Amino acid sequence: MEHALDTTMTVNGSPVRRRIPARQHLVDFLREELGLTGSHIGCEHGVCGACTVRVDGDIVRGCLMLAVQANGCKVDTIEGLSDSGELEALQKAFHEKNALQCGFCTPGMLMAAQDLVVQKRRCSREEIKRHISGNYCRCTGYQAIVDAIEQVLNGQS
Amino acid sequence: MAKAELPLHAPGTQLDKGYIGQSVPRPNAQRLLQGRGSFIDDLRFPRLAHVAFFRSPYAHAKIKSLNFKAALGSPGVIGIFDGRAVAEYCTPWIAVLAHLKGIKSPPQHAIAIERACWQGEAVAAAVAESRSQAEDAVARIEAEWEELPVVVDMDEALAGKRVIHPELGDNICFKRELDTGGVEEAFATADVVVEDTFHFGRHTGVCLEGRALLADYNAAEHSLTVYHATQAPHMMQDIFSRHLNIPEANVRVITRDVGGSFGIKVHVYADEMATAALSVMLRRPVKFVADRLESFVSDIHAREHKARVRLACTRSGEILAFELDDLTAIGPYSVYPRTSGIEGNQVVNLTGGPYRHQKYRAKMHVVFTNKNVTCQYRAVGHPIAVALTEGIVDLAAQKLGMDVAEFRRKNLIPDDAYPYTFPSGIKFEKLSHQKCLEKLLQLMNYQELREEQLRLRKKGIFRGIGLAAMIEVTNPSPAFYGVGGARISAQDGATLRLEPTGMLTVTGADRDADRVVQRHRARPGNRGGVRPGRRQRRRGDARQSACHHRRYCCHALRRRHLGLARRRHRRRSRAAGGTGLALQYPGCRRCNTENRKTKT
Repeated sequence: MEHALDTTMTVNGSPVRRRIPARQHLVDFLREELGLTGSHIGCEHGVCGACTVRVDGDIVRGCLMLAVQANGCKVDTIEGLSDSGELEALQKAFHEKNALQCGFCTPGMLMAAQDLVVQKRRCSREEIKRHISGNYCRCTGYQAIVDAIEQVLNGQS
Repeated sequence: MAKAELPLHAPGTQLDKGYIGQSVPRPNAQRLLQGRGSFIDDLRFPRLAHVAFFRSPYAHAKIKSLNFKAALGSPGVIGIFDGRAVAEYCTPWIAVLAHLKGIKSPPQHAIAIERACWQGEAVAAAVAESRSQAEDAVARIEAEWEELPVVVDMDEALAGKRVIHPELGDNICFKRELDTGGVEEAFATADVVVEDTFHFGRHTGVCLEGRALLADYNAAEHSLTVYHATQAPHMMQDIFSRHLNIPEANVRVITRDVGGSFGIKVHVYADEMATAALSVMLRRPVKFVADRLESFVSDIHAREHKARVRLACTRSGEILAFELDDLTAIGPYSVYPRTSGIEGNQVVNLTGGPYRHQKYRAKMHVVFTNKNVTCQYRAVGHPIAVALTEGIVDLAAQKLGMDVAEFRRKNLIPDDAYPYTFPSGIKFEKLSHQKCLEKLLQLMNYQELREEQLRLRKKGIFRGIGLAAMIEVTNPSPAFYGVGGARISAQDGATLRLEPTGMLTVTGADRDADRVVQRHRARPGNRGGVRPGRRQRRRGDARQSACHHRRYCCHALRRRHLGLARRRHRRRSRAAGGTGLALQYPGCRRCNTENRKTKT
């Protein structure tokens, strides 16, 4: 028998109660059990950032955290923040500046960028780059991504 | 029209100038921005099974025995299969093309039988109810191996003391020689000769989304639907049909969102063929998504070369001749169906580049080694050819004591020399290298940069300044299919439907088809509009290796469909008495006139 634990968490505002195998990653749980497939799995060892989700207000790697560790936590994913409208400004800027190509890294990139937006402070391009340095984009070369984030943070176009 | 489908214009877009050539944000981006894309691993099917592969830990080893007993007892396991079992459903392939004279490669199976020829080659497949269960089962597979001698060095492979596939006689997959004649004399009489050997390590694409497919065999229909993260669905339709013995009309390949390809997802992979075969064997959908570690050892690699280049020129700096001896290693198999010979072939075609010379001699060997397979990847062969050319051109300039920009100015093909044929036979219609060079030097403030470089060097700061001239061979797909035997079901197409509401629905190459239609109908303020339709899910109609697919779709749309829609509408408009139409076609001058009349 697989070792499993009763776990309760709030995902995108809704309570979720499941018996979760102890070894299951948070992102696997979100994708496989809850069907929240917007968080992607790119490397499974904390390098690429495609699985970035928010746990109790902090962005984390969904592949480096076990789902059972989120017991009692508030988990937000790209789906939740899209529906609530929280990501609207970033999404619009990303779209206008074509800050995505294949779109696989995009949810993680938006979650990481929103972390800066939430802090409500102006950032230099260097600071933005540093902040998203844990999120790989293999298509765009990052310039448009930094442009889009900069526009939202500093109101520049 | 849903809000998400409204065109959103980038700053500065001038609608009255039409859409083509202007920056219009992509209509399909909204889904991706909301995490509502549809990548292979996002798909959920009833009775979906997952496969994980047991891969060889050795570069070259005989499989003495495989024991599945413990693995079969693992929770959730549906079946464990070796190469022989899968081979009953999937025939092997030999990746050679008729127009690459003399190319050879051994048959490759979906899952290796008897021996593994590179570390990472799949030798067994575990199918289970979840990927993690399949991985658990893989960990319980027991194998007994007998290590075989390995060939990993290119020169050693070429020398052929150890031959990986004895039935082929040597380790040479493909060789090519090219000689325009007169090279020997050119080098003998040249004032200056430079020579160097360049080494290139392997590259790979590292798509953020691993290779992925979901094969869904329907036993009742004897049909196979493959949801495939691929750049070549049309090609894969033929391949699945051919090797799984399912009529082509019964095979559909559907490509939805693909998380990066870069030339990685345009080849036939043994583990992907095995996944499709397993779906047939088990009569249920089977999914395979390569994880990061197996991507590193099974996605194609590229660009492992060792090349010796020589250049002959006069004292005044006129290039007379190039000579190339390229050696490249491709792993133990040529990759199906377009072979692993093309990259080296392109290096031969392009070395010497746009530097005026008519004497060229090249020799190229493609050899087998016990490493992961290599194949065409992004700008096939170009980076090698350009690096070789520019490296040796710089060396020549240095030896002549001539500025590298000046040396290039002297030798680049003059802008009025076209049409021009490279010594390798590639024809160019109209290029402007001289103009480009002047513009570039001006843009970068070349002279100032050189002066700054000198100043910095005195302070111990070594800044490099490099120039490269390159022409990318693009949109060449028709040259690679058909000619040598690589088949493709070329169904590039776009459908335009005129709805009773006056709405045009476009189905085809994602965003570009929309734009062509917009261009031909767009008058700001027109009623109706253009709606990007759902892409056809039949056959392989999806994003193909994008450049040529778009070209044909957009061309077809403009030439045929729009004209047809306009004519049909006019006929119906006349039949309906001409005025007060429920049906309005925005591209119709008459309707627009009526609209204007109504408004005023």
